[in-house]
Amino acid sequence: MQKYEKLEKIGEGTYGTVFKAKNRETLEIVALKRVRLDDDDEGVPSSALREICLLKELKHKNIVRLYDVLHSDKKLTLVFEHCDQDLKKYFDSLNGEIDPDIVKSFMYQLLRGLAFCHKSKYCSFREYLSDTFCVLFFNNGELKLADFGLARAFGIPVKCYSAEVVTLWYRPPDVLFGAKLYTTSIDMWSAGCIFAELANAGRPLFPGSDVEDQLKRIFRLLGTPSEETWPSISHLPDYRPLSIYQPSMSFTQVVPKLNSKGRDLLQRLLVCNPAQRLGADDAMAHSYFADLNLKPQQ
Amino acid sequence: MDLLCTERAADCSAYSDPMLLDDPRVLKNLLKTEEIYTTNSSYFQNVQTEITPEMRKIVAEWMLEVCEEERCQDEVFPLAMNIMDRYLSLVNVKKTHLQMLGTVCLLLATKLRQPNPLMSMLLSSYTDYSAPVEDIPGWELMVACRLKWDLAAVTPIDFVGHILHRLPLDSELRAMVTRHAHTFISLAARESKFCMFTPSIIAGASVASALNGIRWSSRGGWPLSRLMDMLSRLLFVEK
Repeated sequence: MQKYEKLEKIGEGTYGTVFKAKNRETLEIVALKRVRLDDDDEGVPSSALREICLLKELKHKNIVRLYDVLHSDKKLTLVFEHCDQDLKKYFDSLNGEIDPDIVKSFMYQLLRGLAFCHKSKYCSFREYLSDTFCVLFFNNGELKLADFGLARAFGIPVKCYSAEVVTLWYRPPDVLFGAKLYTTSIDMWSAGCIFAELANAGRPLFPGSDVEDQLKRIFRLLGTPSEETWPSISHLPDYRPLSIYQPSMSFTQVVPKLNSKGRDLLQRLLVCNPAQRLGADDAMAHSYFADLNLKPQQ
Repeated sequence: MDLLCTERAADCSAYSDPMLLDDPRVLKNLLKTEEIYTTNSSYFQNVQTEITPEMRKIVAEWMLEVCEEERCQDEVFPLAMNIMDRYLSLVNVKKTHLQMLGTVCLLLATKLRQPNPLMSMLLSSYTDYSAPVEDIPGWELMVACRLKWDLAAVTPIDFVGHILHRLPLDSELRAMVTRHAHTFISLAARESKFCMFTPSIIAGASVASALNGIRWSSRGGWPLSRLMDMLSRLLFVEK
């Protein structure tokens, strides 16, 4: 541990404390996540083990890098790339205004990170990964998907799942109805929610207070789905008929600052029927990104 | 007498995601990464001084029994065997430690692939306490570090869905072929002579054997030659 000098505590993760630290030799700033290994328990916690094994393989510029794993008898230390800001801090710094080019750039990077995850082997693990969240971080205009188990309010679930896992606000209707068929389409719904939130400089799209309220908020925008728009919806485990909402808000009202192409992309992500939701690759090919500038002036 | 319902609720298990199965790049990535995790059985000559293929088989059978008893998910056993083989090709292990190694490989594999890992205490009891529970965490760290935490290996099971997705099977037949193929994969993982083959080859061979076993071609399926052609093209193997 002499290699790194601890600078400050960043937060508490799901299974340990996260510190900002400096590599004494290279002066590089990193994030250290400490995992305690208690005598009486089961060795390396499975969530930590999965995070290590999977992040080791996910090497992509939009996914936070795991540099190293250090260990002693009593603890493991995961050495991560350090990110300056999480989504919440970033939004706080905006004062309600965000440059549309930055929205576009962040959304594209988010989709690129997700597309990479969706194509990687680790998707064959997604069924077994519970209660880990993907969190968005930023570094000089670069967006990173990370898995720090922090900042729960801004989780994008790229992994699976017990139905309770995905933060309520980002949960798609199929999961809210208890669907057990967890697929990559869940991430795409969440990406849509984050897209709208970005475009509105940090105002959450569907800030529901419970499952019922969450569904109502969704259906007020999208209309209540029926067997016609979503075959077999009534077979979902927790399905119950809800009052029929005709869409009472338009996307222009919901995301006033997003242009028409952006609204079109958003509408293709926020589709109640998971089978009809756009995939990450198709979303990246959408005409909204035709004039993409990945490094807009911040 | 107490009436206890000890049956576990159905665990969250693998579901096929068309987004993953339809995309050829997922399969391509699997094929690209599997090589890293493939070892060969030459470690009996080059690395091990005490361990023999027979001992490996005895431990493997014990591990498979534990998996069956605990109803582990099908990929746990092949993954545990892969971790064990890779460790054995790096480190000379005493024969008295082989069961301990098998124990921590099972522990690591269930932590990675199951919602609920097997408890160390339970695993230790399956060894008749010859693998003491207090030694398990130390061994676990040693194996993980020696393999540089590259534990989430590709297993043959990962390929089965991709292969079957590309064959004209109805869902009932697909479920049966999947079950049979998984059984062949477990049997292959027990034998040291198969550990030199890549997971994709094991998967292809297991699917072919499973389809052959149910006489797929005479039930309106493809003739064997067409199946073999498709498999070798899909998995880039020579016939």
